[in-house]
Amino acid sequence: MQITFELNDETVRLDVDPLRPLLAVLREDLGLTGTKRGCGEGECGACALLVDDRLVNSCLLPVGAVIRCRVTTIEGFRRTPQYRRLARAFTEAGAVQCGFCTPGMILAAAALLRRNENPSAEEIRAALAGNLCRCTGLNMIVEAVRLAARQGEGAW
Amino acid sequence: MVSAYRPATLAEALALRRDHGAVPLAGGTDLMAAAPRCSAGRAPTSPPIMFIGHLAELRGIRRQENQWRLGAAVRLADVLDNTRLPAPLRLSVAAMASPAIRNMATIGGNIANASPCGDTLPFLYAQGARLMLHAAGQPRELPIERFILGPGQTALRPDELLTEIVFPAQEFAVHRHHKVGARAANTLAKLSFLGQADMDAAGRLSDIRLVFGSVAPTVVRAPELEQRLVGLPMPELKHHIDEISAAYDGLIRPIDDQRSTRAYRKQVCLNLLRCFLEELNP
Amino acid sequence: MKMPENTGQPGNDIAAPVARPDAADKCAGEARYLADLAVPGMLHACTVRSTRVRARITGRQLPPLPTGYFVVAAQDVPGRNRIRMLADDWPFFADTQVNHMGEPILLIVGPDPEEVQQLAARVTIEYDHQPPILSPEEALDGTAPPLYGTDNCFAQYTCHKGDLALAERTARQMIRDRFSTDRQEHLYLEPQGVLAVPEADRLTVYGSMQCPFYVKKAVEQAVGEGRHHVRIVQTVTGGAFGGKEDYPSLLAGQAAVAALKTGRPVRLVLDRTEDIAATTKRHPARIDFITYLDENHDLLGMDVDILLDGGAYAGLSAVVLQRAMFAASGVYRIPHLRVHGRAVATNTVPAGAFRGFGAPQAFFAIEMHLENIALRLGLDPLEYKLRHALRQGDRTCTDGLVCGAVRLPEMAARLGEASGYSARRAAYAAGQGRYRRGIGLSLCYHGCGFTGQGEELIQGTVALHKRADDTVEIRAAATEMGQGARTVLPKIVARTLGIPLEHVHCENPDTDVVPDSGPTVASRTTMIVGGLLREAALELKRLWTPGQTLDVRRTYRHPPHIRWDQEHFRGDAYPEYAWGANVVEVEVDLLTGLVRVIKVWAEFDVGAPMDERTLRGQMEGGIAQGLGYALWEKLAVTGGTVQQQRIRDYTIPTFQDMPPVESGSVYNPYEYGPFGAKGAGELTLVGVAPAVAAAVQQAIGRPVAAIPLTPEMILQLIGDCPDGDAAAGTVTTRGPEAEHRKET
Repeated sequence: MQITFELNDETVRLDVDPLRPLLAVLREDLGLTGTKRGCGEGECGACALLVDDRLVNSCLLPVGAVIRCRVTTIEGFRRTPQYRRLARAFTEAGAVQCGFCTPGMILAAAALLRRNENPSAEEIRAALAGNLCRCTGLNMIVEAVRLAARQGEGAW
Repeated sequence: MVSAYRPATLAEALALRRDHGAVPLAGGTDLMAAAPRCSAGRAPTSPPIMFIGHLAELRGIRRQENQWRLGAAVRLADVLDNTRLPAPLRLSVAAMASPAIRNMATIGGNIANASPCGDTLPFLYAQGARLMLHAAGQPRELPIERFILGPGQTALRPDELLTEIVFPAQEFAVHRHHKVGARAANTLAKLSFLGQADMDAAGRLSDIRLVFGSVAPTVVRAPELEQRLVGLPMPELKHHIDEISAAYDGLIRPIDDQRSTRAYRKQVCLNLLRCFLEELNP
Repeated sequence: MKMPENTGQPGNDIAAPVARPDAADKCAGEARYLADLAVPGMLHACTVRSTRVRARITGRQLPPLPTGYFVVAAQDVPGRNRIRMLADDWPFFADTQVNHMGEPILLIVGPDPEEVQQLAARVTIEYDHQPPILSPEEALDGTAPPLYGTDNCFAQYTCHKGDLALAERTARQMIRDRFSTDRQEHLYLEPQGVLAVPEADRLTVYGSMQCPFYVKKAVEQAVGEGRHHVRIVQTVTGGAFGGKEDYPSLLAGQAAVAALKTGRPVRLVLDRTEDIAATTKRHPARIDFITYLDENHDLLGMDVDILLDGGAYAGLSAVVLQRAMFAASGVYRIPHLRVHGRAVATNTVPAGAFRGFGAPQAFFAIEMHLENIALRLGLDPLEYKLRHALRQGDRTCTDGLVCGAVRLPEMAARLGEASGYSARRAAYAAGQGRYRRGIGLSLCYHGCGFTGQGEELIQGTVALHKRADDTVEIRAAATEMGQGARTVLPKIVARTLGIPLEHVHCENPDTDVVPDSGPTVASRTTMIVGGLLREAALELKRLWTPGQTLDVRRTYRHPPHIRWDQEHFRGDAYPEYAWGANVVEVEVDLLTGLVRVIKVWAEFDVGAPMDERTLRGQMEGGIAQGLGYALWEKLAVTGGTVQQQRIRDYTIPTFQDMPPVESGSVYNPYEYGPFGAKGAGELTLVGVAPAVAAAVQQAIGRPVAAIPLTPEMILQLIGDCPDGDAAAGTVTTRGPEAEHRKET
C-alpha cells in the first residue's frame, strides 16, 4: 500500500505492507535506529514516539495507521530547544545510565510537558508509567522531568 | 492479494466487511500484540485487515439526554480526558495499560477483544451498556452481556461492525473501583471489583451494582442478587452480607495461572465485596 | 530528618558529579546498541529451542532451505562444542541431549529476518522423553538419573571456624530456621545480541556484554584454538546486572560458528520472551540455620546449610555458592561456625550471575534469622544485631581480619533517626484495621573484588596510552553497562594526572586494543581496575613528557596483608568489604495482601564516592531491584517451564511502584582503593529484601520465611497461621533455668 506521512517534518512516501509495525519501518527500512525495541509487545516503552504529539508505542502501531499523521522520533525531536532542555536535565539529574530507555523516556516527558508544563511528581509518575527503566530506580528520572519543567519555563 | 484496506467512510468499511470479511483494526494494540513475530504467520488466505480507527463516524463522544454514546473507535485516552464521563469509567481506564497504549487503544477494541480481563468491561456491565452493531443497511443492538460470549468470543456477525456503545448517564452516590494487579501500573488485572450504590431520601438502598472482572470467562454481574438488597434500609444491609457473599462465591470462578491463584482471586473479590457493603452503612 | 548525602567527607572533590560522557549520545538516540548495527551482507539468525525439559534428541526434520539460508548446529562447530567456563558441560548447541526447556539446538540463518523465523517455526525435533529433575530436592533424592556427575552437585563445600561441637555442647538455646528465595530475571531493557563478522583469517564478534575476554576465550574454543584471530568488541550495552556475564559467550560462539559456516556476518538478537525464558537467572536458595546461644543470649555458634538450584548447567554456580557461604553469617561475630553449601543441577533454565551473586539470598536469610532470634527473646532486633556486629580487628566468618573501621553502628543510628525507626517500630507493634504498617531494618556487607584468590588468578592488567597531543587513552577491559565505568575510571586517571577530564578517553573495550583487566563483575571495577589505573597514572605522571607518546601497563598484585587458603576457605575471602544498612517502611492491605512501600532509607560505606551522581544511581537502582526481588518479581518454574515468560507477566517496578528513597554514603576510605574507593555496584541490592520482609512480618504479625512476598503469599500467611506469633523458627531451650521446652 502507498503510505504517506510526515516524519520529523519531512514527507515520507513508502510502498509498504500497512500492517508492518512502524518501529520496523523506522529501524529497518529507514535506518532510524534511535527508537529502540525492548520487547515488541508494547510493554516497555523503549519504542515510544509521538504521533500528532501523542505518545504511542511504535512496536504495536501498524504503519498504515499513521497515514497523514505527524510522526516525531528522537531523531526529529533532538533538533528542538525542548529536547535540549530535557537532555540537559536528564544528564544533570543522573537520569541516564545504560540509555536504552532514554529516547522513549524523553519523548514521554515531552508529551507530558506539552500538555502540562508544571507537573507534580505524581503526574510525572503517571505519565511515564508505561516506560520501564531497570537501571536508575526511576526517582532520578522524575527529578529530571521536574528540573526540565522548572528550567524550561515557557518553553513547552 | 490485498492484506489491508483503509476505507474512507463507515459505509465503505461495512461493504468491505460484507464483501471480503475484512477484520477491523481500530487501535490495533490487541491485534498487533497477538500477531506472530513475522507477518508470514498470517497465511495468504487470512482475511484482510481494514483500518477503521480514523473514521470520524466512530470517534464521537456524545451525551444524548440521559445516555452516553461513545463511538467504537474512541481512544481510551480521550475517555480518560473527558471529565464529563462518569468517574468509575474514567477510573477504570486510568488503571489500564499505559499512557501510550491508551492513546492507541479504543473502547470498541477493548470490548470486541472480549478478554476476561478487559478493563472497560466491568463498568459497561454495571451500567447495562448496549452495543450498536451495523451491517450494511441493517443495524441491531445487543446488551453487552449478550454480546460477549466467552474469552475472545463475541456475537458479532461476519458482516457486522461494532459502531457505538450506549449506556445510561446515571451516576451513583457511592462508587468503588478496585483493580488488583501485580504492580501499581501497566499490568493486567488479577481481579477487579466495581461497586456502585444509591440511597433514597428515606434511607433505603435504591440501586446497587456489583461487578467482578477477570474472575470468570466473562464479567460477573448478577442483577437478581443486587435486587435482593434494593429497598432495604441501610442499617439492615449488614445482615445480608454473608448470604450475598456466599451467593457470589458460587458465581466467581477464577483460575490458577501465571499471574495469580484461584484461591487468592476469590478471597480478595469476596473481601472487597464485603468491605464495600459494610462501608455503605458504617 | 533528611539524611546528609555524604557524611564526614573532607573536601574529597573527586566526588563532585560530572556530566556522563555517554549521556549526550544516549539522550539523542545516537548511541549504537547491537541491534542498531548492520553490515553489508549480514544474515539474521533465529534460534530453534528445545520444547522438552529433559530428553534425548532422536531426529530433526528441516524444511527445505532456499538458497542463501542455512542451518547451523552442533556438527558445524569446528572447535569444541562447549562453552569455556568453570566446568565444560554447557554446549553451544544441544547435540544429542537437551537439559532444559528452551535450550538452543540450532540456528536458522539467512538474509530475510521474517523468512528465517518462518523457517525456524517449521523445524521439527524428535525427542525421547527422560525423567526430569525439577527441584533441588529431586536432584538429591536420587530417583532420576543424575544430570551432572554422579550426585548432581555442581559444587559442594564445607568451611569451619572455631569448634561448632563445643558450641553445641555448651549452648543454652538452639534455634532452627529455614528460608527460601526464588529466581529473579535481570530484565535489562536491551535484549541480548551479538554480531559475528568473518574476514580472511580473523573473526570479530560485537556484542552487548560485560566480559569481552570471557567471550574471546569461549569463541576461540568454539572455532578451534589458533585457527582464527578472534577479536571481541563490546557495543553500547543497555543494562546487564550479571545477566550478560556468561550468556554472551554462548551467543557469541553460536554466531561465530554461523559466520564461519556461511562466510557472512551473522547477527543474533534475542526476542524478549526467549530472553526471559532461556537465559540465566538468579539462583533460588534454601538456607537452613541451627544457631546456638549462650547464657547471655549471645550468638555462640551457627550451623548453616545452603542449597542452591543451579539449573541445567554448571555455569558460575560454584562461585555463587562460595559468595553465599561467605555471606551466610552476615555482618556478625560468631565464634563457632560451620557453613555447608551445595549447588545442584536441575532440568531448569541455568542459573547465573545477578547483582549480589549469592549475597542477596544469604542476607535475606541471616537478617531474618537474627530478627527472629531477637523477637523470640523479647529483645529489640536492632540492638541485638548491633551487639553482634563485626568491628575492626574482629575475625570474619572465614577467620579473616576485618581491617577497616566498621561504621555500621553510626550508619544504623543515622538511619534510625532519619526514619524514626524505633518509634515507628513500637507504634506499629499493635496494628489495627485494614491497613497495617511495619518497619524493618537490615545490615549487610559485600565483598569487593573477586572471591578468594580470584584477583590473583586473573592478574588483571590495564594500560594507559598517552598520545602526542597529551590526551590519554584508558585501555582496560572494563565495560560500561550504565553503571558509570566510563565516567569514574576517567575521573580517577584525570585526577591523578592533574589534567582535564576531557583529555582522558575511555572507549568500549576491543580485545585487539586493551589488555585483560578482568571481567566487569564482583564490584571490582572501581576498586581493582580503578586502582590499577591510578597506579598506572602515577607512573605515567612520573614519566610524562609533553608531545611524546607513552605507554604504561600495570598488573594486579594482592595487597600484602591478604591471606587466603582456597582449599579450606580460610583467611581473607575478599580484599575489602563495603557495608550497608537499609530501613524500609511498608503498609499492607489485609484485604488484598498488596504491599505499598512507603519509603526506603539507606546508607552505604563504599569507602569514598568517585562521583556522587553515579553512586546515587547505583544506590537507587540497586534498591529498586531489591524491592522487586522482595515483592514484585515472581518467576516461577513449574514442570521445568518458566511461567512468567512474557514481559507483561514479569513485573519489575514502574514509576508508580517506587517509593521515595533517601540514600547516603559515609566516608571511610580504603587504603588500597583509588582515592579510598571500595566497590558499590552490588551492595545496594543486597540488604533490601530482608528489610522489606522484616517490615511486612511486623505489619501482618506472621512469620515471613520466603520471598518474593507476593500478595498471594501474604494472604496465605494471614489465613493459615494463628494470630500473633510473628517470629519464625523453632526454639529449643535447655538447662535448669528453662521451665519448659518451648517449640513452635
